[in-house]
Amino acid sequence: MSDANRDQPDLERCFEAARANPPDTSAGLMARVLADAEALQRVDLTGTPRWRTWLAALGGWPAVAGLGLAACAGLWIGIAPPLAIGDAVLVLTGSDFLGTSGDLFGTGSFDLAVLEG
Amino acid sequence: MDKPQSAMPYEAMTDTTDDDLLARYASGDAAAARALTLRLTPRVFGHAMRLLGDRAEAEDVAQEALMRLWKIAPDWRAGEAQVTTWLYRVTANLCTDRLRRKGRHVDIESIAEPPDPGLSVTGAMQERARADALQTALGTLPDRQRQAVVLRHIDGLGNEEIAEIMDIGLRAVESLTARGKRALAEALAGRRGDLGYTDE
Repeated sequence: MSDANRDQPDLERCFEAARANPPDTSAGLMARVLADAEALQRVDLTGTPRWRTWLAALGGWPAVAGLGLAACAGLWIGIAPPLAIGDAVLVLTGSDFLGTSGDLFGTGSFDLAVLEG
Repeated sequence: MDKPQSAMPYEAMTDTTDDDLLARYASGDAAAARALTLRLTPRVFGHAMRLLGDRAEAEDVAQEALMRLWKIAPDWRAGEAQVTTWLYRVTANLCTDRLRRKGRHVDIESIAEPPDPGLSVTGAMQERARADALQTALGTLPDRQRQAVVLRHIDGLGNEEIAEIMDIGLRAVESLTARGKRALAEALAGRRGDLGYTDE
């Protein structure tokens, strides 16, 4: 009998021993797995929270982050517009939109009209 | 230290299939959650332990694999695949990821020394020594060979299911298990006396 053949029955007995001695599963692991299972079951039963539905509808966190960034940029441009924007508006519309007088909302002419009755 | 699993009440619902239990779990049945946990956790953990040889990592993998099962439960289509086949595949993939990150290397010389045969060794201790020696020898095999050998000879699955789990053909399964067994025999050679074979 060759060495290899002689070793095969021994290997089978090692497999038998391994099958007969499975690693002990700790109660801690069982408890964690069950806690996960129950937690996810609760989410499914009570439905997804409303804010998550909105978040998903908007495209998830990346979309919301982009939206927030765009809103902040728009607000900042409104508060402190770069000069280049005024020039661009002048070129495109022919009017001094931002106005060299700085009267963005035309309140000066309104005041004048009120005073003049 | 954690108590052994036998401390938990036995509620595994052995007469109900995995598919049925998973459907009941998805519909909110708390008993199904307990039954699936009791039935599947030892199996998944045992497989991960054989592949990784590290208890803490095997526990993490088992928890993650089962978490994925809970998440997929509402979309599970009964009859398309066996729950255990799917779980073995997920578990093996998670183990492979960890082994790659770790750059596992087991020195063949580090194979656990069995108890001194000069002492009076009980049958149970000898069994344990064989199981430990096999586990360490498994650690010396290439990942795919180890996975195939564990699935075939310890988890006791058929070649067709192993092929499905490993996403390979039947011939590849046979080749991997044959090469794995040869490598194991070589790793354990020279320890026949230590493992208590000479006295039988």
